[in-house]
Amino acid sequence: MKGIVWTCVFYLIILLTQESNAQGNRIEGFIKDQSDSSTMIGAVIHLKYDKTRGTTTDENGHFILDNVHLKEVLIIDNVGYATVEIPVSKISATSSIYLKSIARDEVIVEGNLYQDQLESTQMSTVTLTSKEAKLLPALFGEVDLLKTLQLKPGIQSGGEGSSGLYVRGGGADQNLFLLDGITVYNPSHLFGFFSVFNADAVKSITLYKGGFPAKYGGRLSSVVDVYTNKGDSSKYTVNGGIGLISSRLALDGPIVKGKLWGIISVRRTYADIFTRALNKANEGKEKYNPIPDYYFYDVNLQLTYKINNRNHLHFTGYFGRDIFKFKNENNAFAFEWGNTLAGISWVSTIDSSTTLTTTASISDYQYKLKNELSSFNFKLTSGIRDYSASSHLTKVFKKHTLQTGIQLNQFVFNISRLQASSSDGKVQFSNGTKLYGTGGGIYANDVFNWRARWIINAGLRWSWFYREKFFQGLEPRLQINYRLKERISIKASYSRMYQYIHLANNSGASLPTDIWYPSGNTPAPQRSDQVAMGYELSFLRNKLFFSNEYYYKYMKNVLDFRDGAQLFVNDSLQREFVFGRGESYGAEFYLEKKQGKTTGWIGYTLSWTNRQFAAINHGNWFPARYDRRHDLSVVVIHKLNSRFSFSGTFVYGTGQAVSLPVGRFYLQDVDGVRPSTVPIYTERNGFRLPAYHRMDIGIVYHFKPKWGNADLTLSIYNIYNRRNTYFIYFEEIKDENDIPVKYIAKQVSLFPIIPTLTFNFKW
Amino acid sequence: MVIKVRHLLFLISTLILFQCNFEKEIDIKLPDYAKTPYIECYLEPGKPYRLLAYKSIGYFEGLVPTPIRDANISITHRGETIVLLYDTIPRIGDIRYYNYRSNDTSKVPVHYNEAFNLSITINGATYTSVSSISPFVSIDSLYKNCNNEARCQLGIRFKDKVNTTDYYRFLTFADSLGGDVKQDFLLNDELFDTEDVELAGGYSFNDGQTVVVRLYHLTQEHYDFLVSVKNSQNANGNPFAQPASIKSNIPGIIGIFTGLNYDSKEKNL
Repeated sequence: MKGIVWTCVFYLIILLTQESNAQGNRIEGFIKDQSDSSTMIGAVIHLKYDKTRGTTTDENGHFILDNVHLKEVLIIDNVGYATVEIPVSKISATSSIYLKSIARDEVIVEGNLYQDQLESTQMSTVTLTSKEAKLLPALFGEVDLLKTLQLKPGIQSGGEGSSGLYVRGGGADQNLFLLDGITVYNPSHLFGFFSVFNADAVKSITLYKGGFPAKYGGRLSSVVDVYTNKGDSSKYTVNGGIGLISSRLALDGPIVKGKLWGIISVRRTYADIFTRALNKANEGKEKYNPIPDYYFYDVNLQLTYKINNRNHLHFTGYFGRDIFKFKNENNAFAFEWGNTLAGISWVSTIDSSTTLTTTASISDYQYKLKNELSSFNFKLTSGIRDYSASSHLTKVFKKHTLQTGIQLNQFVFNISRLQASSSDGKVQFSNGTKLYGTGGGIYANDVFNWRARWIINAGLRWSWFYREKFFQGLEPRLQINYRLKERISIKASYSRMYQYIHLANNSGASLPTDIWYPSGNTPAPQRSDQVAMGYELSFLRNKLFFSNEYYYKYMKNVLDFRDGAQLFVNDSLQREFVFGRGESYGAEFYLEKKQGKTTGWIGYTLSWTNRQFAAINHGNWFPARYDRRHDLSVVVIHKLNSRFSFSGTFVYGTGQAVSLPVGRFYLQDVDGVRPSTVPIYTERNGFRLPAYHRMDIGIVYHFKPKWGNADLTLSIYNIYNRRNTYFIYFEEIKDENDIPVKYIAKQVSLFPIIPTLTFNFKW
Repeated sequence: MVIKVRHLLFLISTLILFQCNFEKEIDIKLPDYAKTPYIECYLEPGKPYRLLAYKSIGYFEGLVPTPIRDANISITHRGETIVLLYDTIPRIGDIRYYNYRSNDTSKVPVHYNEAFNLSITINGATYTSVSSISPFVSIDSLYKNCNNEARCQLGIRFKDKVNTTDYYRFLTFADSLGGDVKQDFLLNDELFDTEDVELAGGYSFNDGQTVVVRLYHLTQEHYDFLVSVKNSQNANGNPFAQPASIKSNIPGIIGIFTGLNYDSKEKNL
């Protein structure tokens, strides 16, 4: 209650003080990318002479600065773009300022690209734009921002081709995925091989590994904040691409000029077209087993309505489905899953230093499994629905940037609802349950310049959740930046996070059948405490940037499942949970070059991740499946000329920790059943798969047809055809009398060398 | 023509994907494995007390497990103790192999839900267990559905007690007992809302084929053991599965000691 009062008081102070700031010369405008006129979120605008003044662009790329002297000069910085200096006298009312991408153009700037990074208290953060990701080679040519994030230190994949993220020893369920502030509960298509974030619809992604701003809460290990393209208010654009497994199209432009504009992006895979044709061609053949249909599609819609220069409404919508189905005369099987998101935000620029963003949204994830036999039918559904409302207020003072906000969530959990019946109606059974939970958080955060060299970011979040009982917790957040020299910063951070909803997943992969389950009498909320320290520096005339961080994370009440847990069709999941603790610690090294013809980065992580559960591994600590001692990524992008650019990535990682059976026995079983070999597992994750390494290359050929721009992108995944181990299993070799004669170990690999050609266009 | 182009594209992409063998044999060194006694003992009403005892082995160690010859084994029920002796001679009608048995006149009584106590001493260490025999559950009826290709699905109907937690195993054999196992379902009655239960599998049989059906009413410990066995077997070969330890109901060693009760029916489809 005190938190609510405090927040209200803070809002009041902001509103009362706004009048005094609104006087004098006002400068406002939009910051846009020169190449495609898209607006830029978070570009930094400084004043050249009054160094204490500045602001950033909002979700529309819009900024306002009040009380600016006419002799001032604006300095505009954005990561990946050349710094621009413009005298205030040359800026007309609400003009647009265009920045040049230095990743694409050969612009050498003398300014420090890494200035913002060095000045910020924020550490343990990775920001990636769609443009950067599109320059890199991709599996099946499908640009995937989450997979590109896996090339950064401290972020690991769940396995070959997987878009799942394992951040600083956290599980796949401990990441908060936000699409324009709306939670996405399953960020994967095709069993985790692709993410739901269409690169055409996404502007940028920021991933927080630690040092979490107080604004964020609800997951232990990371926040993945995805910003979408908001569209162009002045001209129409059509973007698209035709690839090996999918095609995509995005339409962007004004609907009511200057008032309402938006972008719609659609994507669909089409392997099913080929499999259907193949099935039809083989129809009637005795030994031919038809291939089931599989495809996924997604639609992103962003609309912006300009109420006036200070107020905008943004609508974000997402609808995506994966569909796997099979039908013959006896059996109709369909498995369908996906997210539906809708949210509307009101962004109000109260004055040049005050922004208020209020959002109402709904996020829904459902999976549905349906099987219709001629005499018997069943349907299984599970899912989560999250109704959310939030408000965030930011106020920039001379030496302080204050941020406060409130968030409320109402959850509905649909747990394994099974309905089955015989066609004559004589037999029917069903189970499943619906659970409800309410949660929320209130926070305040202040970034302030303490002395000349010190910047402190201190925040506090109070979070709560109610189901069966009331849970609450204070989550202190602290980040400190000590500017040792102009180009060297030393940083440290501490974060506490609570997680009140949990993903029932014991596979280590991102499967659509994973079930979200709320805290209650069982399970209790999870908690993490993380400390990180490091330094950052730019050198060689700011051409290179280096950071080195050390972290330790302790996790309490982490979840796993008892041996043999039944997660499928089980509405009493709480009986399957076991609780333990986890820890992760390590060092991350990152070297980056963003300027010039050749750009890229090298990331290396040395880490340990362990878990301990009384009911698993005899209570002893064991390495998590994704514990990876060494993880190295090398990314190089070289722009040869205006037509050709080349890219290459190399990854190396210690093999996954896995469990292998060490013994076996024969189960004779009951009459009539053949004896079988039963493996005996002793130690959890006691073995390592062989080291994983792979190199991909990409060549992009740009050309300019009469109607616009186009490129052909050749991606070659796994160029040296490394057979990385996906898993190992033991096989029983039997003779002609079905008697075992030998036991052997086999390794299974997933993706060999895969060349892909993608055609992209912009009209 | 369009179809042909699509086929060509599909063929090319398939060839690219499957140009190399995704599986290969590898050498792997496993740590030394301490052999553990393994016991299997089913109490079947009307049949002698019989038990199988041998030692589990390292995964790549050899083919034949070592039988345990010098164990002292007894089963106590209603105060009467039956001693099982090492005896490997099969009897007429035995389908399975046992290496310990009572004398042929000692038969397992039809006493449902009553305790049977097992005691095993091996190399001075004693292991004990308690189990019972679940009541008989009869198969009410069998039915079939056949498709145009003369492939048939077999269904079973039986009655489940609503107020108790019951565990079942449904087995179908093609042609005869010991023929191909076409269905092997383990289930508990938490799923069922009604007394009438119906189970059906896929179109696994030919029209006119003989099918043997067995419905086992399992004890909870037998059900848990079989589930853990299935999970353990599935974990070997499934990259998404977590390994499961075997749920033995004989603490200290691996094994199952349980009553066994079933109804069996044969149907010519």
